[in-house]
Amino acid sequence: MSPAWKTALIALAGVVAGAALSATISRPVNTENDAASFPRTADGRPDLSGLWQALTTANWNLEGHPAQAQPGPWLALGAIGAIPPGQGVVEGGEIPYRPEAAARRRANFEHRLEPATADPEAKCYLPGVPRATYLPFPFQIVQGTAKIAIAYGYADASRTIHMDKETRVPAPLDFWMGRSHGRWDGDTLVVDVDGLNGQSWLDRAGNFVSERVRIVERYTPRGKDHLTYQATIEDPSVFTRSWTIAFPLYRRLEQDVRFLDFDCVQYSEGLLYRDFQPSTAP
Amino acid sequence: MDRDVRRWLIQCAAVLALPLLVAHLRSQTPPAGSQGSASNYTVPRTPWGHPDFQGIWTTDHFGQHVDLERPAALAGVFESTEADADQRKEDEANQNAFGDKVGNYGREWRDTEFSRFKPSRRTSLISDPEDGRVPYLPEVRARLAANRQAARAREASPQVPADLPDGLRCLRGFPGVNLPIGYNNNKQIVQSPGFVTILYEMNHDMRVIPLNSPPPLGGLRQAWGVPSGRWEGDTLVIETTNFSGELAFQGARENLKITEYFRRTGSEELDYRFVVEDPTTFARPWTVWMPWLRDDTQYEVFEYACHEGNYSLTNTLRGARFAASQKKGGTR
Repeated sequence: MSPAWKTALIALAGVVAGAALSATISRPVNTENDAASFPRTADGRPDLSGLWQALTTANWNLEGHPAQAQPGPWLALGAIGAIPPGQGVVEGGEIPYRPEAAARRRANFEHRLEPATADPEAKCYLPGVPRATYLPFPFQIVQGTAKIAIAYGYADASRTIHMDKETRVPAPLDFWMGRSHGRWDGDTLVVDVDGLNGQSWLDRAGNFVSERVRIVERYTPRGKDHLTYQATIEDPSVFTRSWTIAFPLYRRLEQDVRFLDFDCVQYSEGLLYRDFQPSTAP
Repeated sequence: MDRDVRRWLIQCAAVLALPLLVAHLRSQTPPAGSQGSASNYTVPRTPWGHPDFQGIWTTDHFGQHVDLERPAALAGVFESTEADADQRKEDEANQNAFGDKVGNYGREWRDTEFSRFKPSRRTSLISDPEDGRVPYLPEVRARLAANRQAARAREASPQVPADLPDGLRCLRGFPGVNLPIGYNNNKQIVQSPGFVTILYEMNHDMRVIPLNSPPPLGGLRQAWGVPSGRWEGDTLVIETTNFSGELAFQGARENLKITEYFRRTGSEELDYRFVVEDPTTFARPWTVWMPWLRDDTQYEVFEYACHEGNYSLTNTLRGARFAASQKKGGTR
């Protein structure tokens, strides 16, 4: 091999190695060390107050999925009606359904455009946990002294996380948004959620849980303006084992960015009451 | 409309939402008490030094028996006797929006039956002007009455959900204002240094109020307006402007401005009043005064999921379609 070739090869190897190195370096940007810059409360806890948003396609499908056309009324929307591709947010890639539950998930998806069986998001029903977190709307956390309030951009949904209960108070009733008890594990806010009514879906793909579900969420500061969100979902009547989703939450940084109202009830009426309105009845 | 069908429609509506209709048709409530405002009261503070309003509060004591405006029969009376207030509450509990007992919620349903607070003796929620009446510009009251009449005609034979009152559709109440009705009058406040949230149990409405934020830009308008909060001494002031005009509060739309004042006056009382302005609707600003009472020893705010269980709206529309088909002499 001529020296010129050798030099070229060495240079090429250097570029490749450099690219690989920079890839490995760029990965762990979100290390614990960066969390030191995260805002703190007077008592030294991370202050999660702010407007946050997930940037995933999880609301289309928690699992990885290719781009896909949608039938029926979606066609009229052209490219807007297509499902965008996504890598998924489920650790290990797949949701461990029991066989009969997997069949129900498929049925949910197939019948998602009919009023009675539509995705609860289309009906403007309260989204439940964890879906509220990754709907394509920002949400506002306000961290009080005894409670943490979260207002979600979709459907005027909200939660109160009780930080002041020595022991968990059983949910007096099943709620769409469940009952949330929080505690600190170092810098991580850990929230136990139960009392969910099981009528929410997890995404537009028909993934679902039952009223027996219990969820443990973890909000961990990673940098000044981002968190890692994790939710472990346990529901033996639907899944063969517990499973976890994880993705970053980003702080919305636009100047004077505000939490806005999206009271979608009125936008759901054309679907929900379609068959009982002279103007739209089939 | 056939009598039986009409009764059936009414009953369908009553299943879920009649109290909401009641609330909608009446101009609403609340009230009262200036009890326990000791002058030596020290306002509790958050760790970051703001007055601490956090906790659960209620306006149950205004229940349904104190209207926004003072009834003519009570002209000149700011607070009635306790016996009269009890009687007004009793009368209220025994009638429905149609003025009779058919299709009403049971008395046991209403918070007024359970509340540990005495019914307010106030005779109107409006404290200024002194006559307890909305100071409409001369032509506005007549216009609103005509609108109301037209709305009732649509309600009698609804074609689409929008023909029915907002309450029956489970749309949110007007923000902030949140006038008391027969039940679920509870509110929970959570504060952080930069924000205040108020969760209104009716109808799972959580307001997010940024503190000391710049005024909203003109391009941003919302049905419920855009709120901005600030502290004036120990008083929390929330100004809400930039209404889209899609919804009306007492006839006011785009030009509406609501300024709310919250001030702790005792361990159990939060003085709350708001000033309503719109020179295109009202002859002058007017004030609602309805102190909130602390209620977190016995209560947690529940999830009021109205829309999710709104079978009434389906049944009402289905009933209207059925009635129309009967009228034409057809079968279903």
